[in-house]
Amino acid sequence: MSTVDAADAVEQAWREHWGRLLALLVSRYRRLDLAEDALAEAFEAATRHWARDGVPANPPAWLLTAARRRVLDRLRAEAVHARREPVIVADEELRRREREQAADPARQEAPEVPDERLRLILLCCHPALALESSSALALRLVLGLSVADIARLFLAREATVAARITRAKRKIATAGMPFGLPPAHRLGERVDRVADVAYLAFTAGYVPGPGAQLHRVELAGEAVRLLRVTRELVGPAPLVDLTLALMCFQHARRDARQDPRTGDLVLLPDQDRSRWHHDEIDAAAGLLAPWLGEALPDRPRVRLLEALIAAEHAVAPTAADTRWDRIAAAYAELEALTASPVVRLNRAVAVAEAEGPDAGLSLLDGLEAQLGSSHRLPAVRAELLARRGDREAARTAYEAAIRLCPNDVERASLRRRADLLAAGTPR
Amino acid sequence: MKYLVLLYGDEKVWDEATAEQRERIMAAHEAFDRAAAERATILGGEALAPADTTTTLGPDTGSGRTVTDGPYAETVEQLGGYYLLEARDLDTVTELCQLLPDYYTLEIRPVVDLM
Repeated sequence: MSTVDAADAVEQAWREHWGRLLALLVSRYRRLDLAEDALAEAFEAATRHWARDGVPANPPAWLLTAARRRVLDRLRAEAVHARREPVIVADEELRRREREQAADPARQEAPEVPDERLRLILLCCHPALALESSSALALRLVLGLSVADIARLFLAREATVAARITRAKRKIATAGMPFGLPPAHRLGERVDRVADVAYLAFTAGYVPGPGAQLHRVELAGEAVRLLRVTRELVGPAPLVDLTLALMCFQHARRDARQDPRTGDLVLLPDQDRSRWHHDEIDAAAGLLAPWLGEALPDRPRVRLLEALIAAEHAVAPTAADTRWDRIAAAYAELEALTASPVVRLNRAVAVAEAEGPDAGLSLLDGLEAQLGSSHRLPAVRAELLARRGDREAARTAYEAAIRLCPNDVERASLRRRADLLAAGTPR
Repeated sequence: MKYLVLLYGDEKVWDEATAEQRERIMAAHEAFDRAAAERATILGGEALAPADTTTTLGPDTGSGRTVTDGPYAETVEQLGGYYLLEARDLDTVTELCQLLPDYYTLEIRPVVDLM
């Protein structure tokens, strides 16, 4: 067994089994901290042992046994020191299954791994935790991401993320959040919360930050995985499906967003569409389609409109083929539902594309009061002014946008557009 | 697990309520009592006299405690009552609290188990 093969096997086991194994350990020992540490150590041990002795026939069973041994060691040590840590509340069904399993030695030898992941996901995304805490916790516990990667995703310090995760775990145990399934009439809202948690983590990966973007965008893909797992477990649900569709449409463009040579941000109209993941776009369309004719409450309706807009961009064969009239109509409905100035700004861009720059510019009136500190408003204004040939006003607006823009990559992109305008070729 | 449920609200709501509105508020408490008796245990619970009857004693930093007339924080929403519950988990408590009068802000605090 070569080291490389063993490392691959560990990597594969990590992707396929981390969440399930952790959920199983939590259901057994009711201690998030112990379960997490023990499983992480079991994976570390696997890297060494599997390289030396070969990959075991049943990798998840090997990992579970190794992790259990570590949990028991810790529990013994705690007993010696007479420490008593709070345990998580579990439901009756779970306790019954556990008793059965404990009573049956054969099942302990080759543990079939029941899927407790939904319990774990719902626990991490409990509404009594802040969304940011839930995002970090779910990525760590359900998907097994390292604290370093989670910190990178959120552009936060590692110590901050570690503290956030620790605090969330403590609250879960101390406040008595159950490791269980909610009553049927509450399941829908709890699953909706998972969609919000995943979407927060996803968008974090796309927030421009210092340094190379590629790794953070890959990490955003983990949020897609979180929601996909959830959907496998609960089946179709509007907010989950539509959020997943929205994320997949956006994520399918990841490889085309950055110039491979210069690292510059490539804007949507200039992206090489052959580098989009068209299989993922098709899958996203498949998630969206069943909800198109449905009467939906506001929240999923908003997500549907956002996904529809992303879909229009994703299916246009070239930028020039984009059906801007449809996008403008979706933005108009979205603005009516959300009253958001950011939506209004995006709507102005779509309307300018569909009807010309003057129609777009008139929608920007009055946005300064709400979006005064954002570089995007003067950036859009500059673009539209340039398009109607108002070069002097466009130049002033570009300068304002460049002054306000906090991010290097975006500022460089604005500077290039301003220079092009000065050279006499605004588009 | 034991939970303390703290009930905050604008005292004016009760003071200015009509007889009919007061009846609805009381009915909400009774519905809570019934459901809580069924799905948890009520270990205690009282309504408190208006916040302006509070006496606040400050910390003793060496020269004795200062005594103040009135509550610690002068806010619109004041503590108006509490329940002490024994319940299986947080979700049970939050679900029960849905039954309490709409105008309350509720804080659910786990009680430290010192056994």
